[in-house]
Amino acid sequence: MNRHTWLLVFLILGCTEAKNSFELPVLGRPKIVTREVNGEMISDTLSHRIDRFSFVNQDSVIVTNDTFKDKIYVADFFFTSCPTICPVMKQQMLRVYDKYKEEDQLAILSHTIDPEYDTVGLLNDYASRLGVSSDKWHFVTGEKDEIYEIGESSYMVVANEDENAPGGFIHSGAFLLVDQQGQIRGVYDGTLEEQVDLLIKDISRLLASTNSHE
Amino acid sequence: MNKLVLVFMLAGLFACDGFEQQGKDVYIPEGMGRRDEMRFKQYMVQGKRIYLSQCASCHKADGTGMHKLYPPLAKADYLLNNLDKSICMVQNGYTEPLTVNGTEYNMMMPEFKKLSSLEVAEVMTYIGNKWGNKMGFIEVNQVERTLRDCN
Repeated sequence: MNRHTWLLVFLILGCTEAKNSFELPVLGRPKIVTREVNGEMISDTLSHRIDRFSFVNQDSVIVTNDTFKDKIYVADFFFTSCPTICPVMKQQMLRVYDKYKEEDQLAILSHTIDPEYDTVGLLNDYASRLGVSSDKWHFVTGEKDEIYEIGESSYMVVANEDENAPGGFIHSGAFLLVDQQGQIRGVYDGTLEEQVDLLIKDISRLLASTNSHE
Repeated sequence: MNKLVLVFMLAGLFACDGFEQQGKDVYIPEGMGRRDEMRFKQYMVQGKRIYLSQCASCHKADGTGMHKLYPPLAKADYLLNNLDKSICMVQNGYTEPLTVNGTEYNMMMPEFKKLSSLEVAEVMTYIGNKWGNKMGFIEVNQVERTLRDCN
């Protein structure tokens, strides 16, 4: 090999090294809040976080932010009677589930956007037919407005009724990676295998960086 | 130079045909005339296109279905024994529980009202003669007759 080839090899190695050690970004717009401490005004920059929520899962258990305390989780929005992208998303989410089956620090949170049809009983049947366990993968339902609200303001994805869309709803196929602080650390297209490959890598990276900070 | 152009044009012609890309797991019914065999192959090519865009997200590109949520179509006893009911299901959807190869399924099947009788016939011919299924040519006349009697 001549000198240039070696240079190229070093460059490539250098890039991979950098890629492996980088921290996942914190997504969303930060909020600036001002507060008074000892008569002085102090400004804090707060990162975007998932709002407080309370839903019911397939076992009729209440699921809140505290359910994911000290855990990272992957969130998505779907409905069981969805004829288009949801089956593909669920097939891809199963890959995440299978990969981290034994990892207690990872959970999955799937919100139905059709709570009138997707009752607790139906979600329970759906989950058991997928063959997944409820302490790892929560299928939740709740007040329709609350689900749409948290989808749009916290997870920054589209979820809405639309009579012209197949199945009657329009929604994003995004998977969102949320860290222990409720911050979004990645957005992935849940219908694409290569995007979910990336999600699986990013989960490992996030878990590793958390464990090294402890 | 002219020969080269001709070769490319011929290659283009065969590429458009597409039946050769169907894979080895396609059943070609015996005893069809040349004309019928050509029509059958056309049905298979169109049927595959419809299948991949409308059906494969649940039933999967290889017809194996998805866990206990969506039933398989490949070597599925229900399909093989209930051609007429299956044709109706594709067009009108289905919401009752259904047993396929010994497993009960109960997810609803959406309706596909937008598919014409010909398109239903094409996709039925495709799933009926792929993945080891050997149901033979399912033609548009037969599908139209069946669709008239769905309940």
